Amino acid sequence: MAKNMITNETQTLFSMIGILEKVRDLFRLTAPTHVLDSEQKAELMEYLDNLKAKIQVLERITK
Amino acid sequence: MNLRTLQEDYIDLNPLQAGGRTVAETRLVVNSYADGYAGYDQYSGPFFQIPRKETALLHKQLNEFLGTDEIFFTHGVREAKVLLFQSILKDGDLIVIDGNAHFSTIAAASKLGLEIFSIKNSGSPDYKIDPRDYEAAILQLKKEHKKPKLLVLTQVDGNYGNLVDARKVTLIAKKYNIPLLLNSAYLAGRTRVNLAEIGADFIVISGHKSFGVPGHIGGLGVTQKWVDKIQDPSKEDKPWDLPARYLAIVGLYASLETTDKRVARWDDEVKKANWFVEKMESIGGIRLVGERPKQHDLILFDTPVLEKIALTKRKKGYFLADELKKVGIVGLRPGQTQQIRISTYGLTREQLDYVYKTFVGLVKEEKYGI
Repeated sequence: MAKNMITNETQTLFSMIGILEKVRDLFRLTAPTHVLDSEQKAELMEYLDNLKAKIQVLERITK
Repeated sequence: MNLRTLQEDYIDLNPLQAGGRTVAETRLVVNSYADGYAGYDQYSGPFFQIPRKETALLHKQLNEFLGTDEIFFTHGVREAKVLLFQSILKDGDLIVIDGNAHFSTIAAASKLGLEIFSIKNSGSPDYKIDPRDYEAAILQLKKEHKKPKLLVLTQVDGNYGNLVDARKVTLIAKKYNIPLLLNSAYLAGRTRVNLAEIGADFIVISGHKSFGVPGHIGGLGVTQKWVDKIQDPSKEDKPWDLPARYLAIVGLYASLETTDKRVARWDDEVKKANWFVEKMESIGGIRLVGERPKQHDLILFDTPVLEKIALTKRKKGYFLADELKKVGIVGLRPGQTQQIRISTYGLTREQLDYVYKTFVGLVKEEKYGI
């Protein structure tokens, strides 16, 4: 499909949604208890760190 | 409207839904196209006409994956079969189908007024389709001065999850010069199915059954010989109920980006299914119905032990689905305890062990009151 222009903010927004969808996959793989093994815990931590970094990008819009 | 959290907070054993579970990458792309008419950003044309330039890459990727020369997108597998039948057959024509065929094969054939000859399965406990029975059927029909215009093989049926060797049926189809359709709704997408390598003429696939695609989309893949004979459902003057709609096409597009990863784990999926069967049968009073060993994740169990427990419960057969839901397991047909039909596809061994232990608990509670 043809590529559209994408701003840094929108790119960040969709990137965050993508990370949250990855977290959702983790939930799916660990339902119904959501008890994570060490590998899954590390994976989740990485997602959360990435999200925090992306939140900072979006926070710039508020300043 | 409530959010649907069945996949996040429950283990879903529903065999119909297993292969349609989406992955993060697919959901992200589909989310970005969630607005009405979003697929038509650079296009204005009839609502149901799929702009070919927008789907050229999808056609190419899917043709490569399936070993087909052309693919026609439809609303689902039933519509793909209707599309094929109405393109190459006429009212009263005879087709041979397998006895494990999905009801939609019969429905599609009936819609077109086709005569159906059904090959029987082997009966209990395997319910297998023997490819040689296609030849027996052709010869039997010949004695009645009849010749089938099409053979239809369900590669994996939705009831027992039995896999039939399509190559063997292809040899028979070629010997008698009868075209062969593969219904691969429960197989292609879970694993690689290549029409060119198998040598059959047609294949129908399901995006929402085996490619992890949201929404409904089916496809009819054909070899070069047949391309011009198929009535393109995206053409303006064709029936409205056949073509796929755009969001489902976007979903299929997106899912193909992760299909390699998906099919790479197929061998493990089959091993996992057999591992789970062994565990469940070790409980006692639970027995696999269908071929052994399993070659697919769809599993049917005879469960007399659960039926016996149900008779002691106030809710009778409904106790099972209720008890399972309480501990986070869904997907069994409520009220059914004589047999249970499940899929292990996409679930982890930890999740399946949790399911197994839950069943152990239910049976022990009944046996020993603990």
